Amino acid sequence: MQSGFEYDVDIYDEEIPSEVFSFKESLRARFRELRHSVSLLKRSPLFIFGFFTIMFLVALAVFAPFITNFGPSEFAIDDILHVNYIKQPPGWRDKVTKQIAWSEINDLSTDFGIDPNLAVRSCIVDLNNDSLEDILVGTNSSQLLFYENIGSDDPVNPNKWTLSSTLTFPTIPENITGLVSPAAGDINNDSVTDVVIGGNDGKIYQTLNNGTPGSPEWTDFSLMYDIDGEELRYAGQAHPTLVDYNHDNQTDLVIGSSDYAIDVYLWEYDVFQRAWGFELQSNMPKDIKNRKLSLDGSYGSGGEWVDTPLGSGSVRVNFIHIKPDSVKYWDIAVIFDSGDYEFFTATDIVSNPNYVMLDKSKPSARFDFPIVEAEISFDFLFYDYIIDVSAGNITFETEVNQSEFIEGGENQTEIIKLSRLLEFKPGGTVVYSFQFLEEDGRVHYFGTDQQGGDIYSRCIWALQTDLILAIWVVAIAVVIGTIIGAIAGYFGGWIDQLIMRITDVFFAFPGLILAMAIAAALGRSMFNLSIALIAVWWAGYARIARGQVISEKSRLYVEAARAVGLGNSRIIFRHVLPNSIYPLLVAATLDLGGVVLTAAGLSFIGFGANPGDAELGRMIADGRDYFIKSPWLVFFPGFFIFLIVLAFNLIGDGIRDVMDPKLRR
Amino acid sequence: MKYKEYVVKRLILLIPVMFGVSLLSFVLSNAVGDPIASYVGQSDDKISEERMAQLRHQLGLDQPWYVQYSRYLGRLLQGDLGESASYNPPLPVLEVIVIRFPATAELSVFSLIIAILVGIPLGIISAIKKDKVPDHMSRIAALSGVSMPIFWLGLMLQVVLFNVNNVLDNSAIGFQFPYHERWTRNDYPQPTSILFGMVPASGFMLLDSILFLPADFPILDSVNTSFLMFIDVLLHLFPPAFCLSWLQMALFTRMTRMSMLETMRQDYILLAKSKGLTERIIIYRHALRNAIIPTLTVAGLSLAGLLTGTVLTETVFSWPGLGRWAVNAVANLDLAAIQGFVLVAAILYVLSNLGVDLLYGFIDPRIRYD
Repeated sequence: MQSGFEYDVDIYDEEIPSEVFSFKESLRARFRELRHSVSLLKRSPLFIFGFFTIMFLVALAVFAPFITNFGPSEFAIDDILHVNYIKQPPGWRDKVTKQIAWSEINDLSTDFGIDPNLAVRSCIVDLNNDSLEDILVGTNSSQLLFYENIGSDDPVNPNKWTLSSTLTFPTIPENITGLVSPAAGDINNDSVTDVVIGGNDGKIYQTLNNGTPGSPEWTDFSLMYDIDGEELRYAGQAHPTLVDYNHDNQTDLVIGSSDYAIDVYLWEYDVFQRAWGFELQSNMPKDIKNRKLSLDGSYGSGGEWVDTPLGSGSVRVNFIHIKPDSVKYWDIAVIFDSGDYEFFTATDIVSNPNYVMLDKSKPSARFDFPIVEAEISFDFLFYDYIIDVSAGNITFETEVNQSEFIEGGENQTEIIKLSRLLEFKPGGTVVYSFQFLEEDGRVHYFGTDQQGGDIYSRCIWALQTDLILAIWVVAIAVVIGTIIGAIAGYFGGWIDQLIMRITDVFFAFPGLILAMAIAAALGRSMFNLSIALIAVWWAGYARIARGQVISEKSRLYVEAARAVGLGNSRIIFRHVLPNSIYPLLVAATLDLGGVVLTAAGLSFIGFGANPGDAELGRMIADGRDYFIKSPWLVFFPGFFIFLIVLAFNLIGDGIRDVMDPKLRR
Repeated sequence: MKYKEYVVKRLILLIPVMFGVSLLSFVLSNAVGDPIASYVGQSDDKISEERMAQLRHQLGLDQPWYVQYSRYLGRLLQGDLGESASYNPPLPVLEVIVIRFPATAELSVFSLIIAILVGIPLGIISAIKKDKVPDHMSRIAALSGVSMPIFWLGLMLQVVLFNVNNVLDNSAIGFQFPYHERWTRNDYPQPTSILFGMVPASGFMLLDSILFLPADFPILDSVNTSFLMFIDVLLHLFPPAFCLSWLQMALFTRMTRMSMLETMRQDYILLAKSKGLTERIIIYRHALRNAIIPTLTVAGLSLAGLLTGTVLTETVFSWPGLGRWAVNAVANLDLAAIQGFVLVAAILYVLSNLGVDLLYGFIDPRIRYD
């Protein structure tokens, strides 16, 4: 390689700085050689291909934030704790922005044809038992109107209501001169829906259906009494709501009235018993059963809760069960005559005594209606419908717990309860809208994995992880191996023997098995994996460095350096090593592919990356349960590993061809 | 240095290496966790602190590490590798290795045969047609073999087989790759063999199945049964073996190509050419014989290297061999099993490396030893 060695410096001249003896001189000849090698490499198509593949992959890894739609660490609100944020692994599908969207507002005013001068109070019920939600509307001209649903249950084609002429109710009691507030439910447990109305006289009347849903036989309206025989009576307008409040499959009665009071009557022993009530007086949070209840107020600009006076008038309570019944939570909407409304998601319930704990300090306890504008004496209704998203391969959760995983062995079914909203505005306007699942338009180029993570993004982030790991491992292994090998080669003797025997021990194990044993001993983490890989690879570099140092140390410039009295470490690190670094660097380049392959293999059998981490081998392991039917879970990560290793091998092949003088001719 | 001296020197060097191997495996497996905890397990009957201390004292775990190590070494020399706790009831590690080794060996040898049968011809073609299309093709195939994650290849192979089976199912050919477990002789009620009376199961399924020949059947049925079993075993063996052989095949192709190219540059090839021999004769009579020696030698080395591959391949294909046992052992913190496996792998690896080196020197007397 290098013929002759000229020194035209006087090595006994003390004025000459030690840099003269550094590697630069001997590198001049090598540099010529290097240029020649590069020109040879430029002609090797496989090398060029490998080089550009690596450049491409590195570019992907570097520009990962700009070319991926998901990750690196997305956030989702914890369903249970509400405020806690879980860091999701890269590529995890965003859980907050991709969620419910409200449909456009459909104006149903002409369908309902409500007199613009009337104020209404509505309730929703399937009165004729056709599994479509019908609507009862009470007006302030003492009317009770029944709107039958003649639409379909398809969420995209909205329900259609029309005023029913077939179903008539008994005459409204003459005490009621104003607003009739209807509620429907099975109050006598005969599986036929009955009707309860609250009048502006503050009393509650009931009518029972003794017939069938198809051909009803209504009894006359009669006053309702509580357990003591007292008639239910309130100061102003009473708004009854029938709901299975304590989840005992019996209909209970909740009454909101004009003194900001909400009373709950539970159906026990065949009679309504007042269980408890709470008063919603403005500026006066009530401590009910040791629970703070502050329903009046709003969030300030800083996100803090500010008590504000409510409007005057009566209170209506709508119960909707956004959470499935298995959870036994009720969510309630409280509507005031002023048009203010509050929505509360129950976060806790204790069966006896029954109360909802409304903790408004939690952000998700508040529910935003994107389309309900507060207007004086308007009324709105929510009701929910269920869709099963497990069939449609949609993974979906929202901030407001609208989804529920139903555990069914290994097959998880996910159902989502979405809401429909019917709004009765002043002036006879009725609008209807519904929620639907909205994809947010971000494309999954490689599909999604079993958790809903975007495989394309995960691959890119994992590529970054693996490349960094490989470079890190090889760099440290080269440094450690070189230092140890140089010491062995330079000093020789028993040090050399000892170090070489140690490397022999490391060479006595197959690489993956040694790395596996070390990784198992250290525990599962990426850091320990890299330590295991370094432990496997350093011995090879030690041997190369030793050989290089042995061949270099008899050179003239080492003699010269020793002659001027330089120390051993200076000779090794400033003179010998720089001259022998070239083959080490080549070997390191060749090993990068092998490191990626071994790291991925170890991750695959469960060392290194944790489940869900974006690491190529781990992704394959995670997708293994589903790969027969969904091969893309495994194909793309594996293909990325293949590309990385192939590119490094191509580069290595090219370099090896160029370095091999026999093949050079 | 003469060859004999070289052999002696290599054998002497084996001693410190084996010593180091045992030390390293001892250190590694003792770092995994509390040895007692792994044997007590997560069972509900919690063991008291006094009992733990008592056990620790009984097992000598309260001794300093060098005492423990020398004891371990003593047991090792008696062939006692401890008990694998991931078996229920625990089995001696050596016994487990004996039970499981045939499956791994069968897989490795079979895949080695595939690799040699495919890799060497590919290498020859590649060398003869250097820098032409077949050369590039075989080089790319070889490179893909070196670069392919073996577990990925295995999984993709399973996907392909699954879909091929679907196609076969629809096409009414009446053949499918088997989904069921391998048939064993235990599936048949008559284990007595016609040939040898009671032929003991060797654990090598190919051998076992062809020698099965149950006695209580008519002779043709008996042969047929054995044959069907053999085919079934072969069908089960082929996918993992193919997967495992991919890397070796690539290595052999490269090696053959390199040594063929080098041989073709030798003077005696030039002489043969000048004598006017046909290229065919030159390649197959003169060049190949010399060129194939290093490749075959490397094949011996790769048999131990296949152990690495079997860890992944056996995991992917649920093969009942050593590699899968080792992965399970690590998952179960089965210290003795980890120790045993690492030790066996290292011994096999070292010995086969040694064998290859010695063989190499024996075959090629030009190699000098300094």
